[in-house]
Amino acid sequence: MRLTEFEGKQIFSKYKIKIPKGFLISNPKEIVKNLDFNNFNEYSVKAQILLGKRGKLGAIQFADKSNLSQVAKSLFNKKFEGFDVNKLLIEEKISLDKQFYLGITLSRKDDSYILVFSEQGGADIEEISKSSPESIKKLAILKPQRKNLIRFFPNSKFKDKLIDTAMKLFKIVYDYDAVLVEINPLINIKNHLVALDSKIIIDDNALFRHQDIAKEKEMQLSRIEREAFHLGVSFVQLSGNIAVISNGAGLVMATLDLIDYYGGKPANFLDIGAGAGMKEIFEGLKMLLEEKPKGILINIFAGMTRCDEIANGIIKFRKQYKIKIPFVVRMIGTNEEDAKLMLKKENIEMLDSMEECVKKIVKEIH
Amino acid sequence: MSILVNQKTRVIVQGITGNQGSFHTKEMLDYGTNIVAGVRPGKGGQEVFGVPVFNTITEVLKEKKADWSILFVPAPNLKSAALEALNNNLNIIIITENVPIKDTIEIVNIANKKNLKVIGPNCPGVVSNSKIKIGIMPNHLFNKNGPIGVISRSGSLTYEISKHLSDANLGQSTVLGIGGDPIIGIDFIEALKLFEKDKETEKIVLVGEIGSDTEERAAEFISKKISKQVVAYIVGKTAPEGKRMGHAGAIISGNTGTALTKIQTFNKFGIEVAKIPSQIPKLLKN
Repeated sequence: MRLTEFEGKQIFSKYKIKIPKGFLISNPKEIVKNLDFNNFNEYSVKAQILLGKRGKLGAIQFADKSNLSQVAKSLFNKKFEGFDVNKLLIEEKISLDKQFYLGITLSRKDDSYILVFSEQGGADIEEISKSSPESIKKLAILKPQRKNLIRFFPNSKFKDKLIDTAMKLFKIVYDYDAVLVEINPLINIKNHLVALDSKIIIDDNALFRHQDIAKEKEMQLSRIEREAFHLGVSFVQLSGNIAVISNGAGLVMATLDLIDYYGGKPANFLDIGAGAGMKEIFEGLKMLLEEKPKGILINIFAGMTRCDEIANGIIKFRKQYKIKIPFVVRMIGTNEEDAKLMLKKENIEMLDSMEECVKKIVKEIH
Repeated sequence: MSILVNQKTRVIVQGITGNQGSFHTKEMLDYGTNIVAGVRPGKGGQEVFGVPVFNTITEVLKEKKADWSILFVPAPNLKSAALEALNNNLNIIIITENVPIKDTIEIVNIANKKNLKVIGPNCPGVVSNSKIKIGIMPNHLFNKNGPIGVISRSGSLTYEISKHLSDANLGQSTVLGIGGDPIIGIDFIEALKLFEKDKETEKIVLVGEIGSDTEERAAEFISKKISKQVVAYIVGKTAPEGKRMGHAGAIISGNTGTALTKIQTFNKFGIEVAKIPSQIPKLLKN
C-alpha cells in the first residue's frame, strides 16, 4: 500500500527527518488562511497522486502569491493517468543545490533489506543507474548499525547526516513494515539535509498491525477495488471482454496468457485465492457481471479450495442472475467428482482441460 | 531418491485443529505421510484423525522424533510458530499466505544461521510422488512417479503443470512449490542444485512468473551448473504491470522482471521455454 507524498512526509517529520515548510489543501479556498504562516517568495504546488515522475507529468507546478490560487485550481481540475487530484501539497519552492538519492527496499537475493544511495539523485536516477552504475551504492543489510554505514557513505561534510538519515529510514522500515522507503531528492539546505519528496510502500500483508493506515487507505479505493478488498480477493481491471475467475496468481496469469494465445482478450485479473469458498465465487461473479463482460470463464484447480463449494456458489449465482452470455467452467482437484455431479444436475458442463476451456470461450463470444 | 523428503521423513503439523490444518492432515495421511504429531496451543490432548495434538513442539519432542514441520498457522501468529519449530531444529514448510515480509525475513535468516530449510511461505509444499507429501496438492493428481523434477513459484499452476506431465506419461520425482512471496526460503537456484544431485531426476521443469529477477538468475545458473535438461514456462505476459517498487526496485532489478525479459534470458542461455502448458511435455520428450 503506497502512501502519498504528504503521508510519507508526516512520518519523516515524526522521525525528525527535515521536510520543507508547507501545507495540505483539499480545496483552493483553503489557501488564504494558510498564507500567514507560509509566506514564501515562490511555491511548489504538488498533486498528491500515487504516480511516479509527477514533475514530468505536470502534476507539480510552481507559483508565486499572485497566481497560487489559479495554479491550484487548474491542478484540481486535472486528471493524471486516470487519477483525480483530491489534495495538493503546497510548499516553499527550494532551489536545488546538492541532490542525493537515498532509499531502502527488499533484496530477494540476500533475504534482507538493501540500502541504496547515490550522489546524483533526482528525477533521472533510473537512467543514471543504467548509464553509470558505479555511481549507485548498494548494501544488503539486516540490522543496521552506524559502523556499517560509516564505511558505506563516501567522506564528505554530509557523511554524518547521511548516516543519521539512513538509520531513521531503517527505523521507519521496521516500525511501519515498509517494503520501500525512498527520499529522492534529499537536498542540502544551509547544511541540513531536507527530504524534498517521499515515497513509502507498506507491506499489504502487515496492514493488520497498522489499522490507522489501513483505514485511511481504504477510503481511497474505487468501488470495485473496495469490494475486492473486503472479499479478500485480488482484482485488477483489464481492457478485454472475457471475465475471468481463477485461483492462485500463477494460474490466473496462465489463464490470461492462454486467452491471449488463442486470440481473446481478458477483461480482468481476479484471483479468489487459496481456500476460497462459495462466498468468494458468488460475490466475485457478481462483481464481474457488473462490468458487463461478453463471456465468463471460471478456471479452478483446487488444492485448498474444494470444488463442491465452488459449484454451490456457481449454482446459486446462475439461479439468482439469469446469465445469457457464454459461461464456461473448468474445475479440477479436491472433490471434483461431487462438483461435476452437482453442476450436471443444473445442466452446466464442467470441463477438465484449461486449454479446451479457453478455446471454447474464445470461440463462443465470436 | 527424491529431494528434501522421503518415506522416512517424520512430520509435525502446526495449526492441526484449524479447518485447513485438519483437512490436509487427513489428505496427507491418506497419501502415506508419516505424521507423528500435531500442535495447537491450548488443545493438547485432543486427536485429529488419530494424530495426537500437543500444546507445544517441545512437548512433542519429549516423546517423539521429527524432521519437518508444516505450518497452517494464521499469518498474525505465524512468526512465533515458525520460530518455535526452528528453535527445535525442525525444517519448516509454510503454507500460510499473507505473511508479513518483515516476519519472513526474520524466519529465513534464523533458519539460514541454523542450517535449516524453509519452504514458502505462501506455497503448496513438496510432494515426492507415490511416497510422501508435505503440502496441500490434491492427492489423486499426484500419483505418477517418474524422472521429472518440478520447481514452481505458484500453487495451483503447479498442479496444472504436473497434470500435463502425468497425462503425457511423464511421472515426477519431486514437485516443489517454493512460494510466490518476495522473500522465500529455498529458491530456484537451491532447488536446481538439489535436483542436479538427485539420481532419480533426469529432467527439470521450472515454472516462473513475472516480478523480481529470480528466473533470470536461475537461467544463468542453469547454463553454468546444471547438466540435466531444463524446460521453463513463464506466466504473466498479459498480466497488468504490478505496482512499481519506486526507483529502488528498478535500480536493484535493472532490466528484469517482465515475462519478456525472463523468456529472452532463458533463450539467451539456450533453455527452452514453453508457450502454453501442453507444450511442456513435448519439449521434454525432444
